[in-house]
Amino acid sequence: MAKKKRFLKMKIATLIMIAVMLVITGCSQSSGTSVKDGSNESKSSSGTLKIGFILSQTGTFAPLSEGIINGFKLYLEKHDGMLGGKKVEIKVEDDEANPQVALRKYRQLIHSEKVDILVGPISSSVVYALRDEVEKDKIVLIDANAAGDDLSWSKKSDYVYRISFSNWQNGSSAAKYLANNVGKTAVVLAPDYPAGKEVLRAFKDAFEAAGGKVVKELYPKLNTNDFAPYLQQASAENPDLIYAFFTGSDGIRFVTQYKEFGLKGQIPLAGTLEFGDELITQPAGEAAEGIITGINYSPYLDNELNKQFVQAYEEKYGKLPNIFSVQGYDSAAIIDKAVTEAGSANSEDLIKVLKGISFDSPRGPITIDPATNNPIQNFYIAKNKLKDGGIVPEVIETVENVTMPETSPFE
Amino acid sequence: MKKIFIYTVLLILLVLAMPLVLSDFGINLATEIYIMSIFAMSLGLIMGYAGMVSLGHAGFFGIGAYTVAVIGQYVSNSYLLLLISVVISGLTALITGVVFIRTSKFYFLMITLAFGQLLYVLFWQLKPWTGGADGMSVSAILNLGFGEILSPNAFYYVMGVAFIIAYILLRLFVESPAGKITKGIMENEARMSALGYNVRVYKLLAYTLSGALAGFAGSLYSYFNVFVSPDLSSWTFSGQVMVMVIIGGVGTLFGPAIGASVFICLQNFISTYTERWPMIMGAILVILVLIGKGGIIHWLRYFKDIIFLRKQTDEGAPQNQVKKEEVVN
Amino acid sequence: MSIFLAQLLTGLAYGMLYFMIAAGLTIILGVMNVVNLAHGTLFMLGAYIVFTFISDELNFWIALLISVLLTAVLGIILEKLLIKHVYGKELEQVLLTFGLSFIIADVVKWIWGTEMQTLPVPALLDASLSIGEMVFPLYRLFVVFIGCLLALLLWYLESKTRIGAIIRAGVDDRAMVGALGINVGLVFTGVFAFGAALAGLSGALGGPLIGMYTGMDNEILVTSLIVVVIGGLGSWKGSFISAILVGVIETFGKVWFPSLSMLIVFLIMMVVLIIRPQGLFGREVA
Repeated sequence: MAKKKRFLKMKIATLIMIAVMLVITGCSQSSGTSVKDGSNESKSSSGTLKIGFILSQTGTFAPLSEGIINGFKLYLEKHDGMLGGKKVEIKVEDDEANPQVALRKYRQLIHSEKVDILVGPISSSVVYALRDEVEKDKIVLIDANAAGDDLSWSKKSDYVYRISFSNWQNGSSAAKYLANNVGKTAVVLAPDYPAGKEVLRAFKDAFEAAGGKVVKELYPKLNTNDFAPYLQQASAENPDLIYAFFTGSDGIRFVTQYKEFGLKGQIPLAGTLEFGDELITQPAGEAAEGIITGINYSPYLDNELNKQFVQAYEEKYGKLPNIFSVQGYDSAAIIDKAVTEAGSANSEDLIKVLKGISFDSPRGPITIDPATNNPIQNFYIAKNKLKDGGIVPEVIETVENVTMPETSPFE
Repeated sequence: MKKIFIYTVLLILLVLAMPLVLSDFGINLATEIYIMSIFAMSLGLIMGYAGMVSLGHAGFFGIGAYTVAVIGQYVSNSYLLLLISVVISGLTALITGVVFIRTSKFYFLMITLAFGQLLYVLFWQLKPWTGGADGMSVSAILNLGFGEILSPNAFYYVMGVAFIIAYILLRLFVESPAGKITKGIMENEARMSALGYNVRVYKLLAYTLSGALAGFAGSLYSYFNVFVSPDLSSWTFSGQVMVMVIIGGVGTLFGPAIGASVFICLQNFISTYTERWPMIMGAILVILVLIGKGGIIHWLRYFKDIIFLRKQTDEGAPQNQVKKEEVVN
Repeated sequence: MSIFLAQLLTGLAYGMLYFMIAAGLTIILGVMNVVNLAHGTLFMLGAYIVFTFISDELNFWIALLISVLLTAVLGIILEKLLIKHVYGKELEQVLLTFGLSFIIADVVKWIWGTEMQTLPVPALLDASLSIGEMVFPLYRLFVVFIGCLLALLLWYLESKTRIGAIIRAGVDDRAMVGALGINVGLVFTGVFAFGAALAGLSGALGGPLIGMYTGMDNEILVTSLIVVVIGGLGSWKGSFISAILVGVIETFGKVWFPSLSMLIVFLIMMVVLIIRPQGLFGREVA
């Protein structure tokens, strides 16, 4: 009997092993054949261009990812599904805004899908995680959103090019105008995470250089439901203005609570480009009126390319584009131009032309600064106006060619 | 002991054979699965053998990972680094365990959740050391005395071996008197207490062992992924591991490992094919519950039983006898 | 002084919101011993349903009623089809309700998209009160009022009605209630539906304050779990006290210890559980 018992155990074990093996092999099998060389040339020989996306489709970043994909697909559609003369195939992966998941997806895209170019990610921690890997594997990554400053400074890579904007650009763009035209003392608020700190330090730097003074800095946690204690503290300082950086649902809550607690109309509110973007102004509605922002895009910007873009976007998706849609659109545009100029999708050829490349965006002219791999672009000082029940950011003045310093001014 | 031997041989064979059938990415994925399996087994130990359901286990994983990332900047000896990780996470488990095991069931779940969150915030706030929310690159390179381990295949074998070692250690603990007493406590705490066993000591022992093993998994992960971020200690990660353990089968050692492989494969591949992956994932969980065998490993045993029993009938052996043995096991 | 009072009031209002969010969870947990991890998702669903009907030009209050009804119906369906299979099996409950929350959240994303939304404050309450120097939104006072009303209702149901008696007995001794010829299944379905409806209600009322976005369900869930645990399992009175406690401490914590703001609620829970392992009002566990 004892022998039989052992026999039974063995059978159980064997069965489990086989099952596990099946599962794992099944997994890897389903994701393509096993080609053991990862060299770059062999991939794009067929004339198709395979582009992998690492975005955050679940969680709070979902609307940003959707905007980027929508914008990218619109560009593709306008160009018959071709970029740089190659038929484009796209593969979208969800990183759940988590670097660990992102790295796994990255390996899948590179080793199994063999993509030529990567577009991504939303969050800065993911872009820092991917940065070392793309450098090692020599894959070009077009950063379609992540705004971490260090990507242009200490963590700059020849293989990573940002198409969106950096926290430094976002924070500093409106500071001079505010100091000269609105007031000299400010209370500043941002969520307690790296982007928040980076935006505010850039603002403070520029605001104080222009003769202003930041009298109080407040950092609520990310996803703060109730800003009341902070608003009470801020108004107790009696500043000339309040400057804030909040994204997503934090931004909507901040703007509506600013009005509910009676600060709207009492102390001027200014903010980063998020406060002038459809994603926040549309749900916040009337509460967002009167906010002064430094934006780099609005669907109401007056240029020919933007008009076409907005019309096409509205036709295809039934809503106005936001800054993220433009970032997606521009990601496609830069790949299009780079592949055309380089004549191939080979990483080494691409990075030669990507440095200093310029093209027209619905935002205005864009040039990738070879010193920081960050776009040099126009920012627009705008004031949110109420028009037909919706918010329209009305441009007051243009800050041309906002360029990041070559090295961090904070070290 | 023989049983352990057979399991081990089978495991080694499995580990050796896999690269023959796997692609590059498959090897990477299998490597990650080994690490996650160690992690899931560590949680499986306290869930299945001590009745403690933790929702903060990723805290220990994070400690292990950050130890390699932070201390690895100054210490290059991999053995030493792994040892430090295990010791720190084990000690943390021991100290916090003293307080935590006073609570039971759902309260234990929630206090461990708070613990995990505490570490999450700690890694997030200690920016000068941990890189804060942006995470940090790991500079330490795994070197076990025969050269730096860099290629996917080398990583694969190292993690495979680590997995086998972890499995053997856990098996030894579970079969040991201490392990049996711990299980006895889970089944009937009052009785074991009346029998004169110090209930808390055994619970604490299991919790410490489990924490140390989770830290070990975390430190391996740090080497493998060369990047750490506070997400490693987030409660969602703890929740995922808990789900791995449950779908694999609570109360077994190997179940959580199966759960981990299935979960990671599902998470990875469903999301590749459809944006609606949370829905499919959710449906799979619901279906698993409705099938109601309590984990995939029990499921596999069930099918195995059907096959095996048929054979037994052919041989003319009494069926119920076999069943009884199965229960005893 | 006035800023202190303002913050106390803010904390109180916030605590009441917490209580509304946690009430459904605590009732289901107390009576049925089921941890409903889909609670946050039902909250989200409640808010989105109101959003839909308001967009159709319906009055906020009618939309709120529809939302409560629909979430209650969903509660009944879920209990009858799924939850009833897992009574007494804790780990299965976790898996099942976790799976359900995945599914419902994804359906919500499918129907309503990923864009963030917010509910408008009903016109009647869209004003701010000036008390001395400080300004306080009327809608928050209304939330405090509803929170108190809900507590009163629960107290009345529990101590003055037959249903309350049955449920109290059920919490203490399930078998006995069954032996008395009471249809326990029906009671459970009712309780689950009631809990789901409360999630829907708090979603509808919380929508104008919190807004709606993908991923909110998890935050709501964790918050309400913490409130429930601090109060002690199965005691809505405990949840009431703990919600106010958490609301007030969190509000003051944000001002006095800004660097801890991510942790405050977790720290409160840890401290409470270390001192009282069964929560503030929980019964001693064996």
